[in-house]
Amino acid sequence: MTMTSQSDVTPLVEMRDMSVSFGGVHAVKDVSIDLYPGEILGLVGGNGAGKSTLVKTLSGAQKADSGEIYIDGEQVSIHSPRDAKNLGIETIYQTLALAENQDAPSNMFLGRELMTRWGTLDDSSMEDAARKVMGRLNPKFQNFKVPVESLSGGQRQSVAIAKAVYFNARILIMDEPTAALGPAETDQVRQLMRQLKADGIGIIMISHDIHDVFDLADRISVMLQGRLVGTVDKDDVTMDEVLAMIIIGKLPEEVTTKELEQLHG
Amino acid sequence: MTISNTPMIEMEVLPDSKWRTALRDRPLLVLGIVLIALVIATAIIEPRYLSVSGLRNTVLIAAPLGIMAAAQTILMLTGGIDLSVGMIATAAAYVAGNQSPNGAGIAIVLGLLVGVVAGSINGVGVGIFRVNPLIMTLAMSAILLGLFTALSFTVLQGSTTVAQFIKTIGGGSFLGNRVPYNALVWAAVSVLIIYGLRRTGLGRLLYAVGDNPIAVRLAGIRIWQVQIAAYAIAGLLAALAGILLAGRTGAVDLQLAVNFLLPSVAAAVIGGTSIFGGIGSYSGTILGALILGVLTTMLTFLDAGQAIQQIVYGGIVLGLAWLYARVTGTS
Repeated sequence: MTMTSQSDVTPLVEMRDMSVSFGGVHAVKDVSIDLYPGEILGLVGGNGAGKSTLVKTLSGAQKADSGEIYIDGEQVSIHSPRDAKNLGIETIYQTLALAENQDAPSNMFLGRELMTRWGTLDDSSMEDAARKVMGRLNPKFQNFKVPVESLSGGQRQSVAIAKAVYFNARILIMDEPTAALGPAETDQVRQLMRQLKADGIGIIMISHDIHDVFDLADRISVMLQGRLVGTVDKDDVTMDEVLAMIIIGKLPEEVTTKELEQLHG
Repeated sequence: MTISNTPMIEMEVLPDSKWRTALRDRPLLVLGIVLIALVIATAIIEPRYLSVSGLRNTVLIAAPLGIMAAAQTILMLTGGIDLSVGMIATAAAYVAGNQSPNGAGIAIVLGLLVGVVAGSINGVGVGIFRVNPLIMTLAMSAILLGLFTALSFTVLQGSTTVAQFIKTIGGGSFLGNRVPYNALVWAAVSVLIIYGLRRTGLGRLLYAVGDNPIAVRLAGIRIWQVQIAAYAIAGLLAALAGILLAGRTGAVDLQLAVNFLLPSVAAAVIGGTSIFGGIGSYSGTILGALILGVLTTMLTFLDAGQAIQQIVYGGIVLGLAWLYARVTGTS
């Protein structure tokens, strides 16, 4: 995918000059990023770079001190997770936000339960819907009636993703989607992400794993100490150049060969 | 319960004893066996117990306790607790007694109202002002005791006996003096609560809030609304229990239901509801309340005083909390 074609398209998400501070410490300072339909944007940076805080302002879990958010070119205000969901923004959290003792359908429909016409929980409809979505995403998944506590990391991740897909997420935020998974499960989740991308969903993926990012992302935004170092097209850069952005905060055109060599020193 | 047929799941490495497996997979069955064993033990101590009036007596004791324990169960599911159930019940009964000269209807409605108001205030404290449930409800208990002590000399002076209708539903029986009316009330409450917890959106949210409040918040739910609803319902149930209790004793005083606090927690814990939230059921609590009812009768036959009874309840709570932690492998 080339970026030139995207300049004509309205971005799905545009975050302008976002700032968040905690008691005088700038966690995020004047950061602007954008996301296009069917695109995976990798958001990378060291610990404390402000990646999670930045996306939390989009998912409604953190209030921004300043900055503007545009969805489909229209300015929006997001004050709560509910606001974000109403805009089609779904988040899959690093520490999976699942109710451990409830089964997959209950978790998928948490707070948005399907009801019978008598106003009671419609568990069978919820299970049917869960089976349908999951059948498309991860056909091997069959454990619809056990507490999610007893599922593997990949299966739990599938539940979280199925939830987002069922509720027609257009913008998906994934915080370390493969951090807690084994190799086979990581592949499974990568496969899922490619499928979502093909469906036109825009994904912001936070990751520590540079290989993951190079494998999946179209563009990469790098943060360092709360600021945006820059956003690059994956096809235009090498892994070393991205590492240089992450570690010393220099863009590929600014960094010297010597500095690149020192990264491996 | 279906865990064992699914191959995808990591199996427990610890070797399971039969009892351990049984308690984890069929807790109600185990509780039922314990209940029957206690009834038999009591009958051995006092053969006259195994009669209609003996068993009726146990249900008569267990019903108000079971309703108060319903309040406790609902809150424990959310990861909360209510240390003010005893005092809310007492306050509600006191108002019902005071208003009895105006008719049983008014007395009951005003008594229940006391519970809803006190419970809602607990809910606002916990849900909106983020006060720890232990602190909030302990304070509520102290405030109610002080308030009603003062009121008993002023506005609430007068009647301390309850209307005949309250005496009947609290202490009377039907079908030839076999089935207590309060058991009927308890049965109705039980159906509503079991159904509500299993089949309504609020019921599911009560479990989810205790399970993972962060997940619930991120799902876009306002947790404080769930908490206020839970504490208000708990207040209502405590008040109902207090009024039934007043009907059984016939008169009210400010000590009426104070000794029910620990048993109400004990009944829920015996029934398998986790004090950490998210796990449990009211069916378990019902058996817990019946077990405590039999135990109380047994201790009475053994001529054990109130002090011994409290020690036994305390010991049960401690022992079971330890046992369930061992069985479920969680702290």
